Amino acid sequence: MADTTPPPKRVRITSPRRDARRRGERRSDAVELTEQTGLGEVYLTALLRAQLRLALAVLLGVGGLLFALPALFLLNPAVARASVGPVPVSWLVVGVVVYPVVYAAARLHVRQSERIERDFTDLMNRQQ
Amino acid sequence: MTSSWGLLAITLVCVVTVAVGALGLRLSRTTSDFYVAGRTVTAGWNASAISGEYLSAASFLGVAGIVYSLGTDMLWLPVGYTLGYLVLLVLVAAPLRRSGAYTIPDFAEARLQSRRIRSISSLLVIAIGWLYLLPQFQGAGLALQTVTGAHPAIGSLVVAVVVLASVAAGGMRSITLVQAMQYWIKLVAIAVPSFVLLWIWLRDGQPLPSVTSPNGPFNGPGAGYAAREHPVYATYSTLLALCFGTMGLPHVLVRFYTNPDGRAARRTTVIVIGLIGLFYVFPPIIAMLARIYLPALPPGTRADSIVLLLPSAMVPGTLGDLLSAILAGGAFAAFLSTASGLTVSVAGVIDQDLFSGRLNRRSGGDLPRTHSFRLASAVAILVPYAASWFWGQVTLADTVGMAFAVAASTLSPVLVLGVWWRRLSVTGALAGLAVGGALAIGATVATVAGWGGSSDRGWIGTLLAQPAAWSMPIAFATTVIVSLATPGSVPKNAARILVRLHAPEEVAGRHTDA
Repeated sequence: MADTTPPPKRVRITSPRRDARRRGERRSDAVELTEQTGLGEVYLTALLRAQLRLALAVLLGVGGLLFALPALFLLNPAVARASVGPVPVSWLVVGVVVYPVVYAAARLHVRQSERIERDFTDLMNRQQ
Repeated sequence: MTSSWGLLAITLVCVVTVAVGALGLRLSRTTSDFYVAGRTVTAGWNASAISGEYLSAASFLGVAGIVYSLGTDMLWLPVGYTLGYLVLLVLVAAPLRRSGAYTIPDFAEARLQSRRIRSISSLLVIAIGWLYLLPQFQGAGLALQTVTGAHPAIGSLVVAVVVLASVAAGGMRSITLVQAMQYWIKLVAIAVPSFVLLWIWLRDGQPLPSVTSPNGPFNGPGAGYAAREHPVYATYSTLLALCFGTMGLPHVLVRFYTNPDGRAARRTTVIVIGLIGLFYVFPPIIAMLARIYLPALPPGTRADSIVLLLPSAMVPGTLGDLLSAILAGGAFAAFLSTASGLTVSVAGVIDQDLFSGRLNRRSGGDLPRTHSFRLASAVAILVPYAASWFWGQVTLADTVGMAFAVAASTLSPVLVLGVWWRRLSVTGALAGLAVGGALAIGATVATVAGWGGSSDRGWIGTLLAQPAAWSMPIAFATTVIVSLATPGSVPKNAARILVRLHAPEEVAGRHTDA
């Protein structure tokens, strides 16, 4: 449908999902450069590695902390049964405290990964 | 409980949903608007909408119900629901947005350049979506039954009709508005009654749960009131399924497409983690109060309806009725929002991959695309609605858990490895999808059908009820091993696609508008 009508003021996009891929392939000089030179390849591999390292660090950090909790409660029933006022510690930790921790980890990840991307962008701009 | 208050609240939520949906219809003009809200949705709205869509019947009724009946271990369930977004954030959020894919099948096809991968992931998306829709209908039936005594089929029908009306009428723009609003309705609807009930508990002198199980007190680790067998395995396996299943849920990725770029996708996810974490503080409070004030379930009720039963048990009279009504309204908001989100995404896949072309050929290209989308919506919602009549007495949270386990064992390996590993091959992805799908879906079918002693939950029953701990690693391993063995079927431009997924927009120079 979109192919046969001349583009009016409002374009009717009949299949945004299929087209999304093709549209996405308009690339800048920076990307062309990275594809043609071995240097670009090195930078991109470094970007990927840095992001992956960050992702794994966050996952292992939070995961280790949280997955250790059930083990702690299991090995140390006394810890789990201790209570703050009328509320058991295990409820308080798993039911409330966990959420701000996860939120903080998410904030940290976003900050770090944006920094990695900024460094990468600076590097690419210097190449041009 | 007097039914009129609750009925009023439910009616109000339904009417407002349809009204806001209709408002969206006036704004929704082109097909692009219809699908992706013209991409004019801000991070705050988008995060509210994602959260509104995510907090389902399982969250609103199911979490409290399962914590009530199974104890402390189940507190991990809402934690897992939240952690899923952290995993999604660090592993796939920005790359998926940068891929420009609208659905998971779109991503799979773009990444692996294979139509077969696309078809298989489409089928899986539909299966997971339907599995997730089932408990929404059941929950709606249960809620309406608890409030008015109506047959469960009526509540399911109300949800089916309202969702179909708002989805088919407005598409996603109206849905974004509706969903964002639903989050705030749900938060208020659970927070206000929780605070009131907590205040009553404090005034009563903070009594503690008096019921103890044979395994020890209710608050003991690994020993809920009626703990399942092998609670440690079950806890870890469920957590794993929730962590890795979230990214594979059909209605989640679609929402990320409405972010303008990868960075916005990340920031939206952080807000989502804050919003849903805030919500999940409340259901366990209700569960704990229910343990104290309703030590035994009234005959003929399910633990899943505990949220609606508690207020009247604590404060008989008008206040109790009012609180129950607020909770019932919130629960309905939960069914409506999740069911709409799932319906939009499942319908999108059905429309794109099963109908498209076919309908157009039949009608000689006369049929507007919005019509076939509406037809797809009807199919997407009627199948699980019909199935909800035959589904057994599996709890809401467990059914949703199965959807997560299937997603974690099938689509998640393709997404994670597709984003991070350039040696992922088409054959490897196909093998992983087939093996993970067969294992996880097989385990789900076995559990629902009651094979393997899943009712008494011996080792086999436990393994089948919580399959993720074994099915997900097997799926990942299969994908990796087969990929390594078939380097010939690695897509040629894999490296270039990975660049697009990870390079910031300003470097890749991509156009972010449609």
